[in-house]
Amino acid sequence: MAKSKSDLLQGTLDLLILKTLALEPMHGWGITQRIQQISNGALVVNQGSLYPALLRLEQQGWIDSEWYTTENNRQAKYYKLTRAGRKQLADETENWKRLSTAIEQILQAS
Amino acid sequence: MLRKLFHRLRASLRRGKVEREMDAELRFHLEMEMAENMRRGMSEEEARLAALRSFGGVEPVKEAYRDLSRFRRIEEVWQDLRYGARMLRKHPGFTAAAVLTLALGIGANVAVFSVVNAVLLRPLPYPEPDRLVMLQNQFLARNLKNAGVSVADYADYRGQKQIFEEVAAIAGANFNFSGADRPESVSGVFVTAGFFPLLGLKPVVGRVFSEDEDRPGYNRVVVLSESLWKRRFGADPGVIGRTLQIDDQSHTVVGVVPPAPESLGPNEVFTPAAFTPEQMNHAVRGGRFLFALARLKRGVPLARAQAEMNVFAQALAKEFPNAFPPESGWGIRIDSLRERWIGDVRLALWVLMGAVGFVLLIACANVASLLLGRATGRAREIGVDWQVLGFTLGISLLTGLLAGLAPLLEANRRNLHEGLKDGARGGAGSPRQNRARGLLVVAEVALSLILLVGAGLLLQSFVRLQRVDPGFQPQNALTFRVPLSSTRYPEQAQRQRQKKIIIEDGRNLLHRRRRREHRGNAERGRVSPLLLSLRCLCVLCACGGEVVFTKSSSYFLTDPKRA
Repeated sequence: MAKSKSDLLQGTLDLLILKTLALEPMHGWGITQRIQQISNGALVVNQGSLYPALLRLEQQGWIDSEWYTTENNRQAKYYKLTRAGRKQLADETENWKRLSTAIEQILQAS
Repeated sequence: MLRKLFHRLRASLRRGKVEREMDAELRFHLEMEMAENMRRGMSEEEARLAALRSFGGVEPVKEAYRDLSRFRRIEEVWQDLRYGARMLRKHPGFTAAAVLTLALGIGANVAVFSVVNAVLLRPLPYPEPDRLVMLQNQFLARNLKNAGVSVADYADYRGQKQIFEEVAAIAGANFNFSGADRPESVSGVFVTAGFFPLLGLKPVVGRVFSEDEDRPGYNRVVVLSESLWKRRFGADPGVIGRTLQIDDQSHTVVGVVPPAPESLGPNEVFTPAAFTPEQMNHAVRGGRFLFALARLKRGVPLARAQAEMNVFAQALAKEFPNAFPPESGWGIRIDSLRERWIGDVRLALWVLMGAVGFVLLIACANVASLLLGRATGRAREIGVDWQVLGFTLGISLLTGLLAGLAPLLEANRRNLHEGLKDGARGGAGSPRQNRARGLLVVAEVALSLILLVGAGLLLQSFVRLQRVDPGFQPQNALTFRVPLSSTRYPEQAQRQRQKKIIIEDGRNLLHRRRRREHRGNAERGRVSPLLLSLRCLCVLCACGGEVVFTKSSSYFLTDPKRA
């Protein structure tokens, strides 16, 4: 993803991260993998966008982070959704649906 | 909001730890990526390079990361300021109007506040000023609330040791200062020895009077004020011990003190009161020519002092019914010194402060409506900050707040509902904006009305004062005082004679001037004694010229035609 594109999709990235973390707490790398897997490789999250986004979300109070030991006995920073984050996810999902429906309708108009 | 602040603060304060964590997190990511690549069959080196490539470089990520985490307020504020400055430059008309309006408002406030601060807020420049009081006789039935006290009164007050730590008496006087290069009439006071310690006036040089010097026969000493010391003696410390002629008597300079209370007069010379036993006579209660100052004992409130003095006054009234006739409504009045000196102006000053406050509010309203006017076009940008020091900083912040609040609220409201409708901005003011402006106008008109009424009343009083008929023609009339030394003219008759001589001198001067002019109808000059006090002669003189004092204190008339 080019940098200009990532700016454009900032809101979208936030939504994707929140959704991913809603499934289970995860470290940064795990988030990129999960998004890539679920989208069948259509969405590749640039690390340069991911970590600033994680920090921003943490500053907003939507996610929380803590260091844990992985199964391979490595220290990793795990992120998890907060209560506010859950609400934010619901709001943004709603917004996204409205927006995509609207765009869909426009594109379908002939 | 708080959470965000906390995060940023944490990032700023614990930079080291945060950086380490960031490093560890990114390294973990790279290693995971590398392991994944190797799982797909890449060699270790290939896997590492691929991971780094996909990462897009570690440093840019870190930089972006840092940017977010760092406490960037200062930079943001700086940006706002720069933006504000740019906007101001771009709209010189708006800038000039706003700056002028606020400058006027703030300037007036600062000016009045500096007076309020000096007079009302700063206590008397003496230690523990709350314990300083003034004692006065009052005769309520005669509508006389602040009569002076007699020497016997002072002696009695001094006896009230359970209330007062110290009592001092002061009497104003003019001193003829001679013996140095030129004679000079200076204002001064007779004070009792307790005066300096009571106020806490510490000598700059030398010492103040001792109790022993406050006795007849030992009182040929003088304490100078700092101003006289600088003016006449060039601040020479060697003046201590010198002998000066004051009212034709030799006095030894013992010390120099910082300025005494202005309210007691422009005192430049202090000599001991040195009351005689006859003056101190308990039975002689007339001659209320003294100011009495006192310092309350620590822990004695004003109310208790007043109550005790009331009891004392009752006893005194019984003992001296002639001096304190019961029907006169006599009593002893104790006022805090500060109240006594500033009580009259307090209200006036606060009213003035309020008035300039209104002016500032109006200025704010004006700037707010200017900003609103601009905000109609561009809702987002509000960046006018004014900085001056201290109080000015405070009120200007308030000003900025008040003036900026309206458009800011407006802008915020828009941001909340912004969403996709960016294009909805601009255009003529919304009904809400119009209402805000309407409110501003109403408030402004109301404030202006108050101010105008106040200013009108003030102006009317001033005009009336100008029209007060003094009972004589003030044009070309002069008045001056000639203090007559009681040493040189000890007898009443001598003083009367001297006064006549002075008046005669004046007449002769006028006469000579008229003759010199050879004009039959030259204005009539007249010298007439207006007030003949005990030691002082005041002369009213109506003439076409001016009365000028030479250095030797003699006087002559100048000719306006020649001057």
